[in-house]
Amino acid sequence: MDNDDGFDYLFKIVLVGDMGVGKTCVVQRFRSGNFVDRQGTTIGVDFTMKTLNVDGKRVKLQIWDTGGQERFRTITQSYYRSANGIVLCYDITCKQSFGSLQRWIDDVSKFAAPNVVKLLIGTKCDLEDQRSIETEEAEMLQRANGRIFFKRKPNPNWISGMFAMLETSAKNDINVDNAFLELATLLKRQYDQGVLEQGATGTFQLGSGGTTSINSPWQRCCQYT
Amino acid sequence: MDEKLPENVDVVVLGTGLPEAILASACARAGLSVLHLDRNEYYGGDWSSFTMSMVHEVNENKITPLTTEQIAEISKIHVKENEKLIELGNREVVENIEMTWIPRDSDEKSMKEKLEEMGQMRRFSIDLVPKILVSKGNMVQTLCDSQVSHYAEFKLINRQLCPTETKDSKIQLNPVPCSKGEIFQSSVLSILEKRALMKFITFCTQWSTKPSEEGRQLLGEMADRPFSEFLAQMGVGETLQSFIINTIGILQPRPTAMSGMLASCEFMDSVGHFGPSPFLFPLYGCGELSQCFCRLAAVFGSLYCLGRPVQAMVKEDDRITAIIANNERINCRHVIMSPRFVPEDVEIQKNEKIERVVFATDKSIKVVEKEQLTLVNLASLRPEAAVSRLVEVGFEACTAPKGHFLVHATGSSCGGDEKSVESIAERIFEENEVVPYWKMSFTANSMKFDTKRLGANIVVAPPVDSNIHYSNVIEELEDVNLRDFSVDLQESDVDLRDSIVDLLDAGVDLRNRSVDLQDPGVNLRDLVVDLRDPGVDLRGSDLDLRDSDVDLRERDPGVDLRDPGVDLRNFCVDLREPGVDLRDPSVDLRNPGVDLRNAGVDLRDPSVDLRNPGVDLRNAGVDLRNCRQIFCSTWPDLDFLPRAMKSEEEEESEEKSEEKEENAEETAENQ
Repeated sequence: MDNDDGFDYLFKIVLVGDMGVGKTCVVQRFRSGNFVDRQGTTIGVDFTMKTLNVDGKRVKLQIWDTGGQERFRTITQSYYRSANGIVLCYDITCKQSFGSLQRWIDDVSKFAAPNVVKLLIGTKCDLEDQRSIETEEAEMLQRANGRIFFKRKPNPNWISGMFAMLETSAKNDINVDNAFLELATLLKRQYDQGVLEQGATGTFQLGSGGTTSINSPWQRCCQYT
Repeated sequence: MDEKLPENVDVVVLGTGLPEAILASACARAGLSVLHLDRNEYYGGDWSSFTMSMVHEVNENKITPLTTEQIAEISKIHVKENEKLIELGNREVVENIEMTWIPRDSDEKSMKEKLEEMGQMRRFSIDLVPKILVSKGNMVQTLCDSQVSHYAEFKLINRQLCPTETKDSKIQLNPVPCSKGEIFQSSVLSILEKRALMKFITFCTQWSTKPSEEGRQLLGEMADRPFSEFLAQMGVGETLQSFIINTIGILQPRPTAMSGMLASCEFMDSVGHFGPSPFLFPLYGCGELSQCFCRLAAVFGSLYCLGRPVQAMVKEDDRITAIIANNERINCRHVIMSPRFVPEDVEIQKNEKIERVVFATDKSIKVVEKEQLTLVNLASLRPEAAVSRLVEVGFEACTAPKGHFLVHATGSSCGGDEKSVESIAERIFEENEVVPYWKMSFTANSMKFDTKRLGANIVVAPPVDSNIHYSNVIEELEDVNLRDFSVDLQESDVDLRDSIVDLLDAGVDLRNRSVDLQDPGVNLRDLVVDLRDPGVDLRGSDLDLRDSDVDLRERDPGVDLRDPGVDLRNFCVDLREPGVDLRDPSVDLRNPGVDLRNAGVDLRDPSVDLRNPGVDLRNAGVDLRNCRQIFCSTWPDLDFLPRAMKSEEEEESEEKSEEKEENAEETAENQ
């Protein structure tokens, strides 16, 4: 069970990708372990939370859905703000959704923090007979965009860019948990190694009960224990 | 991208500025289908924030008036015989825009090149309408209630500077102490002044607990006199007077005793709510807020489409029936628009011109160790003008790269160039050795229109205004008369205020309500079908009604039954006088258009029944049974009724009691 009170790390993950690639199904599978063959666009889903265990620590992921704003490519910049990880999704049976990835990558580099970690996932890999994007093609795209090692001190092992590519199926439960676990693991390790970029300090969110103090977008991920 | 827009929606919202975004989110949250359009490729319209590389877009006018041929063509395809085409306007809310990079001797390479090279241009967030939020103000309340607060982060405006002119006519910027501690530490005030200030604060604290009428009486004849006179009467010396008036003047320019007291109390009430300062600034700039409300609207199903040419409206009698955008016709029941879209032939009732200048600098106007978000009220230097202020925000507010600042000057115009906010800002820069490297100036028009003749179902959102806070915007939105909308929402007194304020929990109710009423034809028509041929239906009504049960659940699961007011209430309305309705069905039922389609009339009227749905529902069984008596002996088993109407709680409690029994058995066994 997901326990709200206890976590050691908190990361914000946002999903992007064309309409209909099955972003919501992936999140749904990850969160509740079931598959709902939904029709139509997502309504009323803001973000979902799930806590994973990584190296013995509780890593809480706050996963944001697009709210249907991908339909006309009108995702607000504020959606990308303070995201720690981005999951770029395409549908392995839909060439167009793969073709759109470059535009999503451009959006991410325009609006998200420069050190954001990106994961590429192909969805619907259970539909092998309808496949129109070969695994190698996606891997090439990932390599072309990924694994930028920051050489400069003090974080020589910092990785930005698109660090991995996974083909998933929410229907048959292939690689979904894995994808988020890999992302969480990477984020946690990166965080443990230190923060690359210092943002503004003393920021907070409004809450009816007063402030929710957040010292920086990154300190939010700080250890509570 | 070329996907078609929907053909029918409840509400079309034109413009993604903050007021439109709030209205869109309220409508979406209330369950109405919303299409939100903007001609720009970016969010926020005239309330937007821009990066340095995008700011030129504010100057790009992509709209050209329709040609006669275009009008003829649109009319031919989209406008029916009894309808009229009205071209939408493109009002110049922001005009006279000038942008310049200012060369500086100290720069080896131009700052523009430097910033571009380092990829820092996108780090700017240049607000068209820079404002602050009062910690206990209605904007913060709205953000919290709507949970839009999830999407945004804020910082305290941690420095308020009060300018005074020294003897050698220099502008001295004194920090205003906000909290008790700051007052005592302040070096600007003498001990006597500190004491007088504390006395005044104590008076305010007591005064604020009184109801407003009593408060006014307490001020006596002074109530409508200038605040300074009142303060003098209180024994506040001149220096301190100007200090207080300067501080609260940011909320209430030119205060009277009454408005000054209200502002003072608001100020003090907000101090300490989120921190020592009463004011907040949204991280990444104020344009962020409209985006956040748009996200909420989108999460609740509102459809967003930017960069579409929104061309015209279609009007029938006094109502707008459709919007023409990108040569597509979108039928709608309501239109919300920003002032920008008001047709050119509508007269401007009132226009306040706001002078705006934005400077980019690489040094604060008053350097201290830690970077601050700064507010400066310039009223004392420009007493003739109603509004004169500076806001300096930089890296700490995520509106500029590290070490850089944006200084926003805002002022209402008053004759004479040497007295413009721009010239005062430049004086402050010069005296503090700040050399701006970029400047943008423009005039913002705060336009009000008489829109009554425009259409009964049009709402024009409040314009940008010169206030530093959002209070007036929210107040105006609360006053937006959505009577048309509210008919749909069943109670004519449901106005936007409710849906904004109660977005949190009322959303559910409103949503459900509107789903039913939005499309009242369906439910009621279904009933008509059943009743029109009562023999058949009633004989097989077991099936019919169970089917309708299923339908309704699918349409909006649980709503109809759990919040059964609507369907069953309608039942009640019809069945309350079953003799009349049903025995002479030709009147009511064959002409259902009259009674049922104007459900508003029926529903509005029997307020007693509807507002006490419990009573109706409990009696529903009785009513139906009466029908049975009246109608026939073939009325089927009514078993399903109580089942459908049994509340969840009952079922739960039943389950629980079963569980208990089981547990009891288990413990017994264990023993």
